[in-house]
Amino acid sequence: MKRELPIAVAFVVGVLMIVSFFFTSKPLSNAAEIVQDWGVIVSAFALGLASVNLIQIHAKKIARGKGLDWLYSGSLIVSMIGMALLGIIKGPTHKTYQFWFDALFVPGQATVYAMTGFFIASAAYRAFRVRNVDAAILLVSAAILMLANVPIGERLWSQLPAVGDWLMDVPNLAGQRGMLIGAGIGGIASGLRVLLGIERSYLGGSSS
Amino acid sequence: MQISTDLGVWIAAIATIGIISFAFKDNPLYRLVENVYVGVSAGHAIVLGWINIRDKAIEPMIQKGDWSLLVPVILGVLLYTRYSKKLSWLSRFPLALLVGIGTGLAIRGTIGSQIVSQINGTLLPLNSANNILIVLGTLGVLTYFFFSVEHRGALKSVSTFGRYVMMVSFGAAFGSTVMGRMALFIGRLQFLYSNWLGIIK
Repeated sequence: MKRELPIAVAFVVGVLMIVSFFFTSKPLSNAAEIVQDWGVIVSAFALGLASVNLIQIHAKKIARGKGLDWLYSGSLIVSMIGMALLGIIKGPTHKTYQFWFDALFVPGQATVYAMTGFFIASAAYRAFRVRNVDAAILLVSAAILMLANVPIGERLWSQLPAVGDWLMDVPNLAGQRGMLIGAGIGGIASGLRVLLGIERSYLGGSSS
Repeated sequence: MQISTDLGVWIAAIATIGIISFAFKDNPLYRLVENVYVGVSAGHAIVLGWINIRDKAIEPMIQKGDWSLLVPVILGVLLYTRYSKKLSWLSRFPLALLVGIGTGLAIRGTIGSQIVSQINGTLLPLNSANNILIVLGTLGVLTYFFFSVEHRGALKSVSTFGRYVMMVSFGAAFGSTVMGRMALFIGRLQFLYSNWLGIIK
């Protein structure tokens, strides 16, 4: 019962979401809307759970006292609790909250994403070594597209931007479409496995 | 050259330099900035979560008397039973609700945007080389993912063509991603040289 009942909940809620989309029925769409709002509220509680987890992990690191871990984990806990209290008490539009948001969150996010460019480039060095036809096609396609998007590309060959556009609009479109349809069918099959209770790993390992 | 006197700009500049410094080597400044960034992000997520609970549960319950919202609140609280060995099974109910909603929304979204619209977009008149390439390319990629029959003979050729089309897509996706990230990196350098150091205008 401890496993079957939650599976039944997931099945009923999942089917409601699907059916309410494909059939025009006011009660069904109202019910789906209510359940979606419930989902938003439960997700908000889940965020709190994640924060508790984060504090537990970093409190353990501080207690272990290895190297500068106390400083790193301490700064994480202080910044998390500080930001949360500030936002909850004063509100996210308050100027002190906005100050820290603009000074740390915005540049941090942009720089972390910018840095991934270097890691992608280093991964590309390994992936792009022309060892077979597939790797050669990948390399040529990426090189054309990158050159087509920078001024030097147009200086090298005036038609390069047009070739880049064609690459995006025709072969890339065909590839993306095929992959989207394939992944979509796979996603639906996986979703049905979850709703029917065949895939139940989200319930945890215990069999009770 | 006029260096900024704004405290916020200085903090943002130190955070930016701290994260960029990882490109050379892992170092204490990077670790510190990384942890503060994770903390601030988590704190921001908590605030957004709190706003959702306040606006969608607490206020409607108090102002409109909509006590049916106690159900998701109780379900949310049940998530925390994970910390009790005896009661941890109760946390499966809110999880099941979230999984059911997520899966249902994903399935209906997938059918609409990933299958019907994509098939619709591929049904093109075969009156140009580009249209023919799009139709054949899409069919080729789908053939590559068709595992029910062994790929031999003509099927192998079609599936190999599909694989090549996918390689073009992967290359294009890689190129676009790198260019996007480089644009972000240039944006950060512009911030450092312009907003912080005032070297460029």
